[in-house]
Amino acid sequence: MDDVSLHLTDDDLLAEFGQVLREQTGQDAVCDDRIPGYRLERELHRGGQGVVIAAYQQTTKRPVAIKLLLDGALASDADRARFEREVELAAQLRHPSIVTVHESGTTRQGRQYISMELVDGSRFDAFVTERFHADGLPSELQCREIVRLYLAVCDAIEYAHRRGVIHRDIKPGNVMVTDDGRPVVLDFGIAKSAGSERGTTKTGDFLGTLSYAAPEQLGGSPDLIDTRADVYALGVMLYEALTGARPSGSADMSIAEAIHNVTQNDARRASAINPAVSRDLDAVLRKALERNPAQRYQTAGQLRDELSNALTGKPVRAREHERAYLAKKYVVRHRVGILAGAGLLTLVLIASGFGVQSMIKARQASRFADVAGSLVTPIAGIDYETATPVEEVRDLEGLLDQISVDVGKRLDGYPRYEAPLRSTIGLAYLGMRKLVKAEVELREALRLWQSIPRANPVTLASAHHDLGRVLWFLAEYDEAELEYREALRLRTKHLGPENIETARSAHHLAATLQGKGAFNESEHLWQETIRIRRAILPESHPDIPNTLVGYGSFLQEVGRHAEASDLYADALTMISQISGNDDWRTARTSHGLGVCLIDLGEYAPARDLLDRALEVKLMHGDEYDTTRTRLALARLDLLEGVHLEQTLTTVSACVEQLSSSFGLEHPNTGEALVLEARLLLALDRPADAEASARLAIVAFESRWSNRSWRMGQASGVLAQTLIEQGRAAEAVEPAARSRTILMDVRDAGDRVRRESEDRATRLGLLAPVRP
Amino acid sequence: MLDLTRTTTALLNGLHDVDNAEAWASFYGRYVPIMIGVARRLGLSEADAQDAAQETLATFVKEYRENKYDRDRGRLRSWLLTILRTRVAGQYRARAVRKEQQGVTFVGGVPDEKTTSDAWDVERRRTILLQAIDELRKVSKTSDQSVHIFEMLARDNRSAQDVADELGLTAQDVYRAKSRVTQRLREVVTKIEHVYDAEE
Repeated sequence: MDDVSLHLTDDDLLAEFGQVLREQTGQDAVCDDRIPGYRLERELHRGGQGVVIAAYQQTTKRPVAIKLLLDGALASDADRARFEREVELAAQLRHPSIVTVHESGTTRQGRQYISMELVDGSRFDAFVTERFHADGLPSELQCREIVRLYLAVCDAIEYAHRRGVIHRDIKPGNVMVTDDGRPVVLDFGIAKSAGSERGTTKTGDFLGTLSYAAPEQLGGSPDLIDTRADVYALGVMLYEALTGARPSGSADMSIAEAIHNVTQNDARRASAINPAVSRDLDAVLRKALERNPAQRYQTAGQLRDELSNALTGKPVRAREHERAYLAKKYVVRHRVGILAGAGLLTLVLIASGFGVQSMIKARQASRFADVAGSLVTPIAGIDYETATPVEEVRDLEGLLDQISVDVGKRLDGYPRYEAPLRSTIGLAYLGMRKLVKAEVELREALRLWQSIPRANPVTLASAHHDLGRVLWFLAEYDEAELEYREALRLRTKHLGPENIETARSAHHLAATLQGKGAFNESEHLWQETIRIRRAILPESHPDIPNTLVGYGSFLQEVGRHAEASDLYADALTMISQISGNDDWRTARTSHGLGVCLIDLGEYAPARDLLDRALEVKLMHGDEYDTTRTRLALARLDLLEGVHLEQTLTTVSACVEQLSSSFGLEHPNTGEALVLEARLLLALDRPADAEASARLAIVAFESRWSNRSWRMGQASGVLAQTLIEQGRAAEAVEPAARSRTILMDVRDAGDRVRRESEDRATRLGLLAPVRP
Repeated sequence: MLDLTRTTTALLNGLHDVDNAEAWASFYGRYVPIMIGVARRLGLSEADAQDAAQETLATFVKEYRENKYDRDRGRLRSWLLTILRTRVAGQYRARAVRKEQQGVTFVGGVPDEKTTSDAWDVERRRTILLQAIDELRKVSKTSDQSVHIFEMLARDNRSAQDVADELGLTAQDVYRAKSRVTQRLREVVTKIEHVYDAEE
């Protein structure tokens, strides 16, 4: 397109702008509105919730800023009441760095407004950029100036906190700097009470706000939000002022990814971006940006004092126990990827110019895995001051992307060298749940191994097994089955049947067959795996309860809830003795038992177990695992009929998260959608429920699960949404389909039960569909 | 904030990295407003238009990550538009369902390519102009009235003298402010146009 603007006269351009601006105004007709006692002068800012207008208060003869909320910003009476209460609280705050709120009220057209002090100045970020970023990143001296300026902001927030007011939306747009260099915080306690729901759909504002939201603010549990969320936001803003970048950069397009970023990724050290940032400041920022609120500074005052210490060279508490803490933290966070992480170090060495060829000459390619393994220890004991890998691990995916390309270029034609690297990269992706990328790498690894004449069959087996894992995560059970079968065949042949690796493939194949609905063989394999592991592993090995949990999930799937719960209870006793109560394996087992108890109708102990599981999982931060427990709790809420609205919000966030990890067309997402549909039905929103149910059916149809009980359940829910909308005729088909599938599944379940060693159990398959 | 430092090409490369928040934010800021505008022009309500734009973006991201987007095969805008048209058709369908319940027959369908493409052009220009003026509002100080003067002249179609009288300035002051803002806007608009053009 041409540069149209070059050919236009000033007046043409003026006219064009005129039209666009009028259109914009016409959309919400805000500027035609009137407020008694004020003369509205000019628009200062326009955002998702409303417009800020410079105005003149006639009675007091003073210039003011009016924040005018758009229609619908306060949806309910409760919102309105909360808004007014917050304004009242904010109006009591008197601090040089907090904007003075004069009053609130309603316009002639019924919009809510707040009148406040008109602050002459620039937005904090614009001020910092102009003053300190003009010649690149701020120097050490400038960093100190920024921090000094920032002390006033922290002080203002601390002042408000002491009076029970949480800001909840600290971001550069809400902090102004006056011409004489005084920072002023705007929008105290107001921003979030005014329809944050609506705000989320407005593009720019939503993105802006999300970057400053603390992880716990994104978890859908408003009860958890306290002053520490403000501390986090203060950290983000300072980080951005010092480095020009956002710490975990959550300004992402999809809610799920943004949540993922904030909750899963720790920030890069600020000094890695701007070397002028001192180690002390680094440490203070790190502590302010802790994902876990308990590890963060507990008050804005603490943050202020620490910043002040950093300025004056006093010791900073954030750096106490640095080493031990970091090492522990690393191991906890990267439990899934620890082996992958070890392989990663190898990759980092390569990326940093340590020649691939020389490295390979130095060690046999087939020993790559051993090399990687030997690097586990150094990683766990990593030193914050000197070592770089923490940094690399933080930006793992980008690095992996690069290395993946690099390996392709430099090792083309050397499959023996490329294959182990592809496996390592693929497993690293898998550990991060980057499934699509993992699949590409692991497929390529397998292809390369297969192209090598006389490749070690045990290695080849591992390649099949690893590819099977990613396919399993993708719910491609048919393909996963083939890979696991081959892995199992090779391992049985070359390692023997009673081998730890062989048992692992058997375990995974059992889970895959269970996913496919091939229950007979699945059960046989589960029992066989338990037998083998009991025979070859010491009693205290976590793989044993782990297998019990797997078999437990099988029993649950076929409706043998009572047996399953016995098994889970055994497993829970074992695993908590082996690994302790705060271990993720224990949490996973508690989860399984909790779900089982829901099916058995024992809601109270179920909730207890699930709450406990969630707590531990949150600490360890595996997103998918946490989501599963959240969903189980949500189902419990639905069954008990408690706080459904809030539960719906949680479930919708889970749907987002799952569809971002696994895709919309994945049974995991489908299950969450069915739950969402059922909640919507319970909340008397059948039309919305219909949409969720239809999406769920799409999710199940796309895969193996066409005939599973989940599909039966989804069809049943769909039928119900139609009936409730008075569309009984349309409901006939899905209702019939649901019935057929569920009967089939029940028959299959019966068969399985008869054929295995049967104990009398009640049939739970039909239970999930509520009338 | 609008990111003028990167071309869309650089941006698209950045999108391969899920954690590249800046790239995502910029992409979002650049194309979502246009898509919302197009969807509105095709008859959707504000809320439905926002949904359609969000869904389009979600689909785009998915396909982009799966490397289904081939730069040589088509322009970014036509790709986005193809997805958007489907989404809008989906909303038509949903609305048709609602209307039918009320006993009204509503004929939906997929909007044709020409209509959507024209709407894109209009919305793109509109978005750019709004971004430009936002940019100016953002960097100017609260006390600086020139953007406000420009808006009074442009939006409210008022004469320079009229504006001068209201603000207690001379007509000369108003002309100067107008000329200054127009010039700045022209620069910013050109810059933004270039950013978009790099891809389209």
